[in-house]
Amino acid sequence: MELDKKNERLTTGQALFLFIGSMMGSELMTLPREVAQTGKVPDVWISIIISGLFYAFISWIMVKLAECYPQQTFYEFIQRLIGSWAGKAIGLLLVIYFLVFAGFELRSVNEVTSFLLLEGTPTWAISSVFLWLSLYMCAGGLFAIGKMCQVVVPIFLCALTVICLIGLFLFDSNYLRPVLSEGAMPVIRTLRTTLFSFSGHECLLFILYQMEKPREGRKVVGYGIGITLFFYVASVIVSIGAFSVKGVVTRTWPFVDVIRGVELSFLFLERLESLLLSIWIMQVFITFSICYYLAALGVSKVLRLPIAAALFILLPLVFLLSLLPKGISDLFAVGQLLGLVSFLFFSIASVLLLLIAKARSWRHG
Amino acid sequence: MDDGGKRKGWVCLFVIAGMAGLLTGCWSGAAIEDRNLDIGVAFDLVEPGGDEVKQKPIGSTPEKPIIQRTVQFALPQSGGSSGGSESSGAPKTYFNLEQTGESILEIIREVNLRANSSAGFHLKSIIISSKLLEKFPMHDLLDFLLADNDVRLSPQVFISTGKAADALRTTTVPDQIPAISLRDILKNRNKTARLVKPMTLAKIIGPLRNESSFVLPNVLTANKQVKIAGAGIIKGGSQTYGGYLTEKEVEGLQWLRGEVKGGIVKCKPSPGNQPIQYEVLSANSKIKAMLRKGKLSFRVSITTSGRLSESYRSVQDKGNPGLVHEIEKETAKEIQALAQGTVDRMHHLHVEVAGFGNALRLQNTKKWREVKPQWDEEFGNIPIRIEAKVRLVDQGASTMSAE
Amino acid sequence: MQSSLFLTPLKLSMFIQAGWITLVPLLIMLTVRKLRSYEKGTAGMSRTGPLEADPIEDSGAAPSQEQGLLNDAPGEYRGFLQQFRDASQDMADVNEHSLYLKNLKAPATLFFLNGLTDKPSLDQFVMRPLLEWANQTEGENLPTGGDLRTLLMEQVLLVSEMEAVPDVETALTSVLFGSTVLLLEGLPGVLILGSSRGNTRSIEDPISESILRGPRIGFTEALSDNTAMLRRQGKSKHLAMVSFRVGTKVEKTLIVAYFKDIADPELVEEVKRRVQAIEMDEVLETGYVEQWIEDDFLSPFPQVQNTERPDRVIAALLEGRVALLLDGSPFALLVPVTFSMMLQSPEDYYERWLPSSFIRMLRFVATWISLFAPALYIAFISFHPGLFPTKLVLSIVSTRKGVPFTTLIEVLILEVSIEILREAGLRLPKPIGPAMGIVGGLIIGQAAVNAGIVSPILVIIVSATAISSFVAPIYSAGIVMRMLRFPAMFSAALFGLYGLIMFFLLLCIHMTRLRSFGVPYTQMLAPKSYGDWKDFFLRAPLRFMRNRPAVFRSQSRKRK
Repeated sequence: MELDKKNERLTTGQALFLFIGSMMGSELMTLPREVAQTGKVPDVWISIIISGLFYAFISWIMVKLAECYPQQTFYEFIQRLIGSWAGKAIGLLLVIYFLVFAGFELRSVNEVTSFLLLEGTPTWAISSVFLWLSLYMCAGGLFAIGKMCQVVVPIFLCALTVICLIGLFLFDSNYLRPVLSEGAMPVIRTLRTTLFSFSGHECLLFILYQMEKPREGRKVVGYGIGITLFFYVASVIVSIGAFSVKGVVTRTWPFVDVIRGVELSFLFLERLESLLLSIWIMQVFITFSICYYLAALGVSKVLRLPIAAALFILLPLVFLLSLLPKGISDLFAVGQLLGLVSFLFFSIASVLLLLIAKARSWRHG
Repeated sequence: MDDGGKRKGWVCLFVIAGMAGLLTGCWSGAAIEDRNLDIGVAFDLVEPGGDEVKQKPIGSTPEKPIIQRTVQFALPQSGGSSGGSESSGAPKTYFNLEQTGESILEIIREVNLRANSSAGFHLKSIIISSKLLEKFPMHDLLDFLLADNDVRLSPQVFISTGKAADALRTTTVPDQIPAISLRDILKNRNKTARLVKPMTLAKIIGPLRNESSFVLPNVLTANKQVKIAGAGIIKGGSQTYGGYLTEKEVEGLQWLRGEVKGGIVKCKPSPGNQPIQYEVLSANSKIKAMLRKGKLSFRVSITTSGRLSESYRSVQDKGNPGLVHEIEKETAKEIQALAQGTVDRMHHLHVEVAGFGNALRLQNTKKWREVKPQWDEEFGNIPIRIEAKVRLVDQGASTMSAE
Repeated sequence: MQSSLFLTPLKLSMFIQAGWITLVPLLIMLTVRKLRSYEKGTAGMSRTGPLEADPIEDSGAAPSQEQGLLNDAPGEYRGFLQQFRDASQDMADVNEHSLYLKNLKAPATLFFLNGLTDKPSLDQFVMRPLLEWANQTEGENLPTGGDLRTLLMEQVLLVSEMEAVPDVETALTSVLFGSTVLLLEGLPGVLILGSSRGNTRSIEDPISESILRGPRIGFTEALSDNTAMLRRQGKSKHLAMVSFRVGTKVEKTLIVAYFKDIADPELVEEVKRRVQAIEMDEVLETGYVEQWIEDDFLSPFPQVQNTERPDRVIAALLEGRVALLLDGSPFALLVPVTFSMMLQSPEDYYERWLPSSFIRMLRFVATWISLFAPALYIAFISFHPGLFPTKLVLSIVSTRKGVPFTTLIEVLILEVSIEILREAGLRLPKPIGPAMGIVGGLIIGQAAVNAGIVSPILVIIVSATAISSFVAPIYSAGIVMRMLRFPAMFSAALFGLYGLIMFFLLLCIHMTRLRSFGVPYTQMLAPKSYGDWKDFFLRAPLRFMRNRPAVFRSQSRKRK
């Protein structure tokens, strides 16, 4: 029906929540431990801010790049920029990247769920519900995902705020002071981890073309990176303030443990961890679905398949990929690897591609 | 219709799938009443040859220390049957299960053979006997609890110089569950200065991993009554028991840390006078580390404001500025003495729990790094000066009524 | 960073699981497609087809084209009479009354229906002027044929609603609707005189949507009354009412009402198109219409709103929506609809904004409870008992000590019986109803607790749920919540809170994908512009609501 088609554009709010949703997935719960492991000082949050600023710059470049090719996804315009075959190859590599990313998110949900929520339920049962729902949502296209982001992400941000407030019960500022006691070196060293923790920002390249007002892409980047950065820093500060740097290193899910450490005797529910974890699962669902959708989008654009077929082809692959890491430490290694790839590829690629695009448009007059 | 049969097949398939889902379902669900609710846990050292050894673990050698773990389950009220060892008229509200073993892991494995599945998410209190802590470091005992997915990080941790399991057997007020009432005592911190800051499992993680010393409230049982009396020190490096602080010393420690939330300081202004009671409204302390010619010293300045709660003196005297001043001075002296006592005790025990190390770390990181490895020993030689400043903000309600 | 990854070798079981994960949604998708194709097969074809016949305009229905056909020789009286008698042979309620017009020297016959025709006015305004005219005038210079008809229609008969038709078939239909048919020798064709009265209900307070403050009128079964009520609500020359005939065997009038200068023309066209696609022998109630024009018949959510209140209809029309009224049904349909509208009551706008905002939020909470409370109970009791305070857990445990069933079975027993009770209470005669409620609610509940089948806490939860589901201001929205409660319970019993979250996501995804006449169903939850939130959880002061909701893409956004 032609009435339906009219609305199929992302509003600025939806794009913003999509952007946030793709960045803040399962990383958030483990980020404090990862940065504390590399940094070994409480000042690691400074390092997060630095990498946040870096990613604000990269995302801005992405917006610029996407503005050169309105109405096209990255999969399409990369073929125009560097040639059809090379573009297709890169497209397929990206599909693999997004698939691994989705598998990583799925596995994280499985790990957390089987550890804290549903001990004893088999993985395939947990995954299947998750995957089916994601399939149903992705079949609705980016617009359905965008609207779901608009519902879920604000709820998640509220939950995060609640967690941070709860964390104040355990907070001890002595664990965070003195600032920069070991000099700036540890902070710079931690960049190695923090620069990898913004994976997911690359979804900008794929959503901007769907926006109702593409001019507001910069606004999306500004607010998106800002909000993500704020909660990343808050999660690190709260976790370190509760457990100290050395304590955080020993906790698998430090941010979850912050909620587990507090008993709220004044509420109807004494503890909120299962509730907040469930909300977190919704958020990971969003992150997962974005990756899954982008992978399917890649398959459909490169191989010229309908998106529904691409989704169905990728469904078992994602599941198998999620089973691959042996233990939880291998899972975290995968997460780091993904961050590395995201950092290397998308930072370099977007700068290079922007240069190519500018050069071309300059040559064409 | 040609594909009617096919459709019927699908319908059957879905019905079967749905029913299979229902039947296989509830993988992890277990009704709440089928699980034992762990409320408290106590760890004790079994004296070799003592009569506490009820079941000797198989294959244990006499040299190895044996841990006794007492778990307290809460029993629902209308359960009817009494579960305790001695059956009295009133139904028991709790049940204690004891197991022994050489390590926590061994005990856990054993408990699954004895009782139905337990759920640790309502654990309230963990009590560890000081004797056990002399043999085992803290993290050995707590690691299982810290890693368990059921146990939250919110239970309070206590130490007991007596037998820890006793604290789970007695309550001051009958009919209460010991583990819960024990934890509730800690809520009285704004009324007395003799309770140290409670430590939950979550809060222990920091000092445990940083290997710094800390104090835990000490539980004593006597005459079928439970009391929190003094505090036990866990030594930083080894995470073992480091000594005992009496109630007075706890009070001094609280003053040093500036953590007094309420309570009363008793003092006698001058030899002939009757004692007065100073009720603390707020307290604060500042530790200043001073480094002169490589010699380290500390200056503690305690400031507090409060009011006279009850005085046996004549009421009219209260408003007298001279007297107020005198009372302030006397109280300050008393606080100083309390704090000094604690400092002396810490010097004696060669352990530091009052935050001097932290103050040094914040104020002079370089020096701190130098002394950090043997801080507890080093601390014994550092001179400490204590100043206290008291301000009476309110002379109590009785002044008003008199004038 | 660790560079070497340790991967698990893939096993056969994993592939089986992967196959399961792929096949189940594939099967579901194919089934849904199949079902949709059935729907397309019957109605969808014509639904997407072009507009066929032009709708008959309510205002300007002139029989001008039939004029030519009517100009027949005036000798058909006997034939018509015979035809009419044959057609109404087995219709005992069709009455026949013969007259003789003296001036014309012609016999005449009136056909009318027992009970539907307003007999006093027939006597007063048809027979009396006709006979008086016949007695008073001379027969010489009287016109004949078409001129006679014009004379009769314009000068003699005191009836405003009059029509001349050439054939007996249409005339009979209108007799059956309560009109009177006049056959006169020398008069070409048949004259239909509107005299229908029928026994209609007087205007009453609507039962399904009674409110404390606001107009106490509800629609009745008579379409003309209903349109009149609408007109009376809003005197506007932009209020369009286009009438359609629906039903192939038994025809009924359906009116599509909208504001010409507000409603999105595309939306209006879409509504008209779907109305014309209705193919049924009889459309008994607007419920039939609803099911024919809705977007997705597989969705549990109602995609068309029904109401008995004219004020609600007018308010909706002013927002840029379209209303459908059907003859014989006191329920008007409103399209498009979004989910949040199911929780709004006209009263919200009549009270001051603070109390009505409060009540509206209360309604959201109640909906939430009615949907999720029993499921949460299952999830908390059997999966996450750690969330409750310890003391509450102890008291729950003590009450559940003797219950022999799993939580799911326990909840199902009580939920199903309360649903049965409620349904039974609806059908019972009024005096027995409350007694039934007491028996069911109190005695059975108490007895079940005493017998140890269910725990008392569950009784509290189930009754709170039941009461909450009554809060829904629209009955059909309440039913959905009652129905969806059961899958919620099953998913909670399978996966605890995780299952519940997944169920919630499923509902959300379904609603984001659902559209009602092109308007996304969750437009409020995930709005295009957050300005629409002024009328969502809160009901902002009327002064703030200057713009119409962006949802409906109305022509003029400003409310003036």
